Amino acid sequence: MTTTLSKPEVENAIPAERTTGREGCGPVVSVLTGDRACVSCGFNLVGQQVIREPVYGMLLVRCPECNTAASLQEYPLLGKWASRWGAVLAAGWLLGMVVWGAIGVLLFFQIANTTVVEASSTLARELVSRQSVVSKAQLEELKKTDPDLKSRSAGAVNYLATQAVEAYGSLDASWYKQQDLDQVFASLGGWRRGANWGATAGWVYSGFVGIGMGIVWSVALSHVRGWRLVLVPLTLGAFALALTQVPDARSIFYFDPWGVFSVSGGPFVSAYAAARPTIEPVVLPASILVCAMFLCVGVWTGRPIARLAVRGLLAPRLRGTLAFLWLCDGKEPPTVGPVYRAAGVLRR
Amino acid sequence: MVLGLRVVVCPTCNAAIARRRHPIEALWRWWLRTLAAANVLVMQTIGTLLAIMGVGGACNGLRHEFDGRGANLFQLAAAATDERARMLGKLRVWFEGEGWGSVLGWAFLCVIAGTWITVGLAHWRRRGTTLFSPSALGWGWLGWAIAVAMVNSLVFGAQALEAWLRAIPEHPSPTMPRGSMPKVDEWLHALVMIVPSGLVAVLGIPLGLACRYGGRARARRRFIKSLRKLRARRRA
Repeated sequence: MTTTLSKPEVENAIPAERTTGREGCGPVVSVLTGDRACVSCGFNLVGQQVIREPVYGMLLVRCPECNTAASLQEYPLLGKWASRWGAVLAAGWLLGMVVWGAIGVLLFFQIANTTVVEASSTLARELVSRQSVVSKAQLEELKKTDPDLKSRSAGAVNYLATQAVEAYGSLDASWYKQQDLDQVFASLGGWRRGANWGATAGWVYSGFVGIGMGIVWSVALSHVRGWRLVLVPLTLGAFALALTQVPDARSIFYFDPWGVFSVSGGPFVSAYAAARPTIEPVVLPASILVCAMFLCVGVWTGRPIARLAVRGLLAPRLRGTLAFLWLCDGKEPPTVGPVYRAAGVLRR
Repeated sequence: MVLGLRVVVCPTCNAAIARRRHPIEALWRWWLRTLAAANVLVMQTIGTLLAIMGVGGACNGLRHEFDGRGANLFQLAAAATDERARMLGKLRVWFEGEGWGSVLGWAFLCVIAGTWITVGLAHWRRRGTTLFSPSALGWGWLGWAIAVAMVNSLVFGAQALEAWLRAIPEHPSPTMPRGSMPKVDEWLHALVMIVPSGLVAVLGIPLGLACRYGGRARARRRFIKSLRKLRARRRA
């Protein structure tokens, strides 16, 4: 049906947000992404801004050369397949976001646990050295009565006493149970000297990972603006913290590159596993907090970085499909070039 | 007709709409265009990163060779004439032996980077307003040199921070080795190496301009070919 219109009531059809500040023009809603020739003069309209015309609330692109309105339309969908495909795409998008979030949580978990292992090393070494002193004393006692040990040299006995402890970092479980770990930790100098703070070096590189992930999040969640973006690192951090409270989560999700937890069992305890309960309550949450802070930085700076990359690396005619990076923050997308606008264009 | 468009108005809500293509087809075309843009963006990012990190790495490699022979550029500048001649003699021996390959590789990377700046950033359109203000090509070259310096400084900063943090405990960890603290004069030396790299990269600009010209000619030929096909189809 084609008809000539009288002026309708359109106040409700014009969205109040995303205005560009240009007096008399409608709000910019998108940018034309394809090559379209103007029906009047043939000028390529790619990169021109799609505006909602203020009188009828319709989508329009004006030719910058001859001011002709190009036919852009939106209409209610009557077919079923569009909504079906839309649902499939939305589900795929949601799944992708969930997987990306799970990767983030696992990365937080891995970085935090690696930092704990590293930070436990000072206390673990102290336990190992104390255990080897006890082992040597026990072997010296045995040497007095055991004929096999009697014939061995002092060096060989020393080797026997220390190899299990120092080479494998394994402690005698019965000896370990008698130790007061808090006292050992305090004797090392407590949190100041008893923990290996060099472990925080790992945070330097986790910063690059966190910021990179934050950039992806801020672009993917382009509909979220302002302080709500902080919810992303908070949520991931909360999930990572929750994962640390799950029994056996470490044995399932933590990739242990040095095998420091795998040598425990039976009459032996890994020195790292023994030192861990003292160090973990402080270092693990601190590591997750630092990762979340880096992610927060990435989320805040993500869109400006993405816009800078698109401006710097893409030719103007390819930027149209990525105009959402500007529109989502209420900014005006870059145009192909200087646009001529005749006086009175798009004014009532 | 409104504004020269065929408009359909809903009799109930007065919403004015016009004809358009099927939404699935429109979405599919939008998706193809987005993929094309993303593809170009990824390729551009990779190319630019390679141009930055390749030259940065080559500069550091060359700097390492110079430092190993006690011929730091700062020391060369500050040394007395005899001492400088001795240092340059060492460098000459190195260059005539195995060093020419390293220098050639560095120069090759610089030329490739210059070509990439000219081809990859061809869409930078800014013109120089005066004789000495840089044009788009000049800004690209300057931006690339600054990016090399920034990446170099970032890596140096990260290494220094890591080495400083790892040096805190009395007992170094058995799980991660303790890295040595990078030296400031080595970092400055690597930054100075960017100056000759930038000058060599200028040699790549004519090559890049030739590539641009070739690309444009190819695009023109393809366009004319497709136009001829279209005309032939219309005649048929």
